[in-house]
Amino acid sequence: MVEHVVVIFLILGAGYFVVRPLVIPRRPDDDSSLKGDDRLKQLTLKKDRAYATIKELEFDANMGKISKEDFETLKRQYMFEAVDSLKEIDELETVKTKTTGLEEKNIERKTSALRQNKSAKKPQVFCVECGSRAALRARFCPSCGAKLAKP
Amino acid sequence: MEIEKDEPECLGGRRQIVMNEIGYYSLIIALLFSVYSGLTSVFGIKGKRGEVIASAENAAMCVFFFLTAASVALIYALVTRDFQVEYVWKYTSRSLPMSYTVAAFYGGQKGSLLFWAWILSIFSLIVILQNRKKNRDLLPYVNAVLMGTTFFFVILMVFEANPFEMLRHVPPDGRGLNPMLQNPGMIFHPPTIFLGYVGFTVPFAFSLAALITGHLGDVWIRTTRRWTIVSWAFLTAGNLLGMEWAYVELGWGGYWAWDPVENASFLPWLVGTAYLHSVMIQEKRNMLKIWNLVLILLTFLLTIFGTFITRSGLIASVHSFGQSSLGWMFLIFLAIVLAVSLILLTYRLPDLRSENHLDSFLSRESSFLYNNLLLVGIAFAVLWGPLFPMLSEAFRGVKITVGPPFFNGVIIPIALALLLLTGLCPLIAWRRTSVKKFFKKAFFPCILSVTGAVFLYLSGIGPSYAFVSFVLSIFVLTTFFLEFFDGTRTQRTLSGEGYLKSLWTLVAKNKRRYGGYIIHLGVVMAFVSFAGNHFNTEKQITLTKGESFKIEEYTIRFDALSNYPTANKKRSVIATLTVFDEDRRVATLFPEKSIYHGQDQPTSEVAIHSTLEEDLYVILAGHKKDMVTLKVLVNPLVAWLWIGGVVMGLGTVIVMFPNRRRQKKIKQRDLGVEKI
Repeated sequence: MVEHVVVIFLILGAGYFVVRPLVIPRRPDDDSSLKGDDRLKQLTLKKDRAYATIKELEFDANMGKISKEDFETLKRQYMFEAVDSLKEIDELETVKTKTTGLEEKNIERKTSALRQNKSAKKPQVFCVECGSRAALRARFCPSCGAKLAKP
Repeated sequence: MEIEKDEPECLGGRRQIVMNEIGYYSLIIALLFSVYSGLTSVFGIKGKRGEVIASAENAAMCVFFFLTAASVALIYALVTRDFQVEYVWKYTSRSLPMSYTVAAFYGGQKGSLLFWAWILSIFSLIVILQNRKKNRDLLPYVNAVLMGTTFFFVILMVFEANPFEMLRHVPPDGRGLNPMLQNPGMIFHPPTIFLGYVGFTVPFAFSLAALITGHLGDVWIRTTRRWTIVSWAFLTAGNLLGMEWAYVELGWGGYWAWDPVENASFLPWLVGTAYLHSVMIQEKRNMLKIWNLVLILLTFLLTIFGTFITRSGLIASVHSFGQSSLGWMFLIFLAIVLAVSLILLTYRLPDLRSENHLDSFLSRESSFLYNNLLLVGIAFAVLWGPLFPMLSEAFRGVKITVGPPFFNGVIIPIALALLLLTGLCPLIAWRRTSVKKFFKKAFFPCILSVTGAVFLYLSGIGPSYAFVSFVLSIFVLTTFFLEFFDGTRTQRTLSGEGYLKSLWTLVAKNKRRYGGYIIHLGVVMAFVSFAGNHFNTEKQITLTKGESFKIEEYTIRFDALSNYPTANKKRSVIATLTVFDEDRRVATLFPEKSIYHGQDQPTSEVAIHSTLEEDLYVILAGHKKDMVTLKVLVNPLVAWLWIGGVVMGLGTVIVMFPNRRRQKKIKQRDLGVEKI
């Protein structure tokens, strides 16, 4: 008898817990369960991976595991990969925040500057994550890929 | 112990029945919730309805709640010694110490199924809580797979192996736990191995979810990286604890006999280890996607297979519990998992083609690939062990067991190749290494290994597998040392810090790599210990009181023989032996032969004097008045296996240590500090 009462109570409690999300309307902003931010995540991972690889290559080159030529070739290859990812991340985020076309041009200019490595000559800030220098208007740290705060 | 026959006992009895009923009902409710949760999470994601998915996740939490209730009910029955419950009667007795009484929870077949399901439900809960705000596209499918597996284990209990089954009468005492299981190993080995087994279900669930959704990038791999390494560490620890237990308890002088049950838990370890290595190539280079999926699928199937072998009673050993119909249900489950995974894999095959290719055969990727082939090669050889007796019985009606000579002959050479690869791998950089660079790096380790080989040869160790193992170990240790040394030096040049600080920064900066080296250092220690087996010596001798005899450099004197009952044992015969190491008294050993309550056969308790160099292992084989027959073994280097295990654990902790910078970042993000 006691066991049946206990079991029925437990079932009722659990049943309420399971049914509640179905009957109580969720706040629209709470509906995170279906958000597909997969592309952005993939790109961020790709960017992080490229940066980590470059760091590792630098260290391997310093330790004398790979030759100077191999290092330069591989580094360039991963730099391009990182820059491409950064560009796409920025595009995705720009779409998200619905910014104007002017800003997109800005990104274009900055990424090409990054590509040609000219940013060093402009006014600089420091990355809070790794301490490297970055161009004042850069959005990402060129050394570790961390996001930079807007001045 | 007296049984109280007054009113409190009756009340206690009533309470016990209530708890038992609650336990069984909890199983049924958990079964229903697991079905509901699995199905609704799939419907929810198909119909893009967040509220349905939320309900499914809540149902998964209820599965956890009810399986916890069932586990508590079973532990309650054990602790209150409710012998009317068949399971309690079968595996405990009034004289059984409390720690083993609680451990009997997973000591028998039915309880261990409940334990499996319960751990899985805990893991499911953690997965849901971890992924409340991420991987939302994968999670419904992950949940469905986890619930499907839980469903399988619970349905086994509800219909075939109910741990709450009642006897018609109340027996005055239980049959007691198998004496061999009454060892501290019982408290640690089963839970660790189960945590390892069950843990691999999580990466498997994520891999299936990736296949179903088509999100085949490395998100699922990165999400489950920690699950994989922790499960692997538990499986490693579980296996080592099992070996230690067999060594001190079973009393045949060794820790590994290529027993089908040992093989059954070695298999998922091998394939899991291969997976652990090959996922790194997918993370770094986005390659080997199909291979990784196949490996994790195989690992999961092998954990189920391992549970099946140890828990179905197909193979006679300390692990099995007599024939039962569970075997077929396990086979059906394995077949379903295999079919579903293969169909999904074939369906996604076009999307799984690699974007990258191997740059060079002399690159770390390639060496990881060779490592994988060797590990899977060993796994195939080992799989033959448990399968062959079953196949021969099925087709010819005769059980033929494949013995240690087969395993040693096939597996030792492959394992040594693996050891060599462990040493070569750090010399090679990712992507490509020029042959010249490689030889330059390998020069010093080679010189040292050759010197070591000459030294070993001169000290009388002739050419054998053990010799090769020692030489390769020197090679691997040298490359590891150089890796740390060069790394520290480079770090010092870059940062200008002192050596110790540089070493610290080096390891902290790349915990995975250097923690990995430490884990492999443990592996090398294990190899050295395995090689020690080659030099085991064994003697059997009968001594009268006061007599002594010599084995290697030890002299053993038989001093006394005592014979008395204890609370737990009907009779316990203990010999007192004094051990001298070249005239210096080093230890007093007490090998024992006891008969436990409820048992007829005597059980031997071995006595071990362990040093870093070797173990003196003494078994009391027989006794008469003032006379003992002893079996004495000297097993060199055994202690290094256990030390290696601890080192592997330490390495795992370093690998797992959270990144302070990342932690800070996550914290900032959670607090909304990071403003861009």
